[in-house]
Amino acid sequence: MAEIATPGTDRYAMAEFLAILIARYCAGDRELLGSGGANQLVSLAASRLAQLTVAPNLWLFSGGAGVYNSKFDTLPISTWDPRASYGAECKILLADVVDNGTKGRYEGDRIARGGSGYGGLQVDKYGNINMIGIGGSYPKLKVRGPGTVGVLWLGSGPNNIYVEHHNKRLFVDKVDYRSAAGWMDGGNSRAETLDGRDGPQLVWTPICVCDFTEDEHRMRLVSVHPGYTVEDVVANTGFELMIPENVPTTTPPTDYELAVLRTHVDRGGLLKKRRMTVG
Amino acid sequence: MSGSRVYKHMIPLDQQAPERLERRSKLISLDEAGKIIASKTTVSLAGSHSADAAMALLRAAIRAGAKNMTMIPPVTASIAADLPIAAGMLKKLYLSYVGFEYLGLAPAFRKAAADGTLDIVEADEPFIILGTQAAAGGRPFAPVQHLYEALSLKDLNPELKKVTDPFTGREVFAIPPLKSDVFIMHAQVADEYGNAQCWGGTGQEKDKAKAADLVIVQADEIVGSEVVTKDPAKTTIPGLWVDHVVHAPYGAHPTFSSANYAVDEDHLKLYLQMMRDGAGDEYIKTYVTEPEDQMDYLERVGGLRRMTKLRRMLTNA
Repeated sequence: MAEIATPGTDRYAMAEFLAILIARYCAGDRELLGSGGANQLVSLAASRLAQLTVAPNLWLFSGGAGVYNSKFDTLPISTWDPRASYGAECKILLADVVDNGTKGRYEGDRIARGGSGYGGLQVDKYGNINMIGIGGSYPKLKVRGPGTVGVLWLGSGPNNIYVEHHNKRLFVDKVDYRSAAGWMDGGNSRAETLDGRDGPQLVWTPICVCDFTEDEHRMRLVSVHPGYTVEDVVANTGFELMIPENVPTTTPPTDYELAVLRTHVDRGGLLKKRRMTVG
Repeated sequence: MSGSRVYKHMIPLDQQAPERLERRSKLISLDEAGKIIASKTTVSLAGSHSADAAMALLRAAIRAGAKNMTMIPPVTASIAADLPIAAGMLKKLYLSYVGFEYLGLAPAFRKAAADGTLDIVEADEPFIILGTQAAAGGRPFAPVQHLYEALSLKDLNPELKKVTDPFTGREVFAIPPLKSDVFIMHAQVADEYGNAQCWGGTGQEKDKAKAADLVIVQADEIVGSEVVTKDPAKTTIPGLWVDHVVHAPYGAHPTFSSANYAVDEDHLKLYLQMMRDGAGDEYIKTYVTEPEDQMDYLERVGGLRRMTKLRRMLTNA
């Protein structure tokens, strides 16, 4: 039975911590696209928090409502929730989403994806994602996934991966099906197939942060969250993770970050109820 | 491909708080915008006929010395295509319709065609609209039924190719993606972050913006965020897609600015007369190169009195 992911203290919930952590990675004055798909509550909270604290030029896209820069202070339950449109500056069409996604920022390279993260049933050591299904033989899958959604465009430019559970069933050596392209088979495989377009950059989980090695593009540990150890991460990852010599502990939330999150982003305390698991 | 590395590594926590938590304004001057446009090769436009043309930006580009450019115009254009041709700004034009409708044919366009100084791509509405859509989504080309088989366009337009429909095996036509270096658009209002409202428009604005590497918006009025957030569905182009915003009061003049002010038909007639009388250079000098700024231009075309009249003409008041 999986354990509920808990941080080192009872001062904050893991989902609050992850939102704060993702917001930190958006810091800077450049223009960034932070987006949330249907139920990406944590990315949504992270992008809004980043706008209010460290990334004034981040554009927050609520996928389900199709709007930019909502100004909610109570987290909507999902991006299709009408509250996700509150105070928005623009509504676009799904066709625009598809166009922007498939065209990508390959030409022009104007906007980087910031606080958004994609997850799946399986994520492998090269950051490939599987939302199609696990086991069996297609179409008789042991676990039929919900479908690939709009992740074709992860082939059109860099992105991040974010998961709410960390275990060996999710982090596998090789995905059974590839519904979103990571670094494919590592090395130059992605560059050769997708004209040199960059793949996933960061992975946020309830117990650690990872990135990818520069040449082989293998997943590599960056930091481990308070309350967990490198051994915990290794024991719950289904492939050989690259482990650098020094793995710092992820800095826990500051009082300021927590205060802004709780009073300006998630007044309803939805993140506190978010269940994340390890093992 | 350098973009990704910008955010792979986090700014150290103690250096994250910005000095001022302020969104960056995208406002630049008309002159700056003109220089940017003049430094590019392909420019695309929205609007239609004599409506919503980004005239202030076009004049600024001509003033900045724009030469040898390719234009992807709206499917119908009058002075927005003819004036740049007269000023020597264009080398190549994707043609669907260039003319002044009931006021007559486009003089500079006709002359350039006769002199062979303009490379005219014999296109049409589907070619421009579908080609733009293809570029907007990064698609390799836009397929169209075999309809062109019945037209001369298939022989006159070398950019129109044939391709086999993989589903039926039939030969169909392929329009290339019409990507531009810069899209210039007239909006009635915009905020300084680039969110722009077109109160008229033809639906091509979004696609032209997506198909461009750079987007410059000129707006009759710059408004606060509260105007834009009142109804997000009214925002035609999200600021995220916009690189620069220029405040150009009556910037569509002499064309119509949807729901804002009427077309200055007298001025269009003056333009046509001067072009036909061989006084094109004088027109360009008086109304394009000599004016110091948009205000000076407006003075030369009748000032506040004339603009107020054009505004009132919309309501027949």
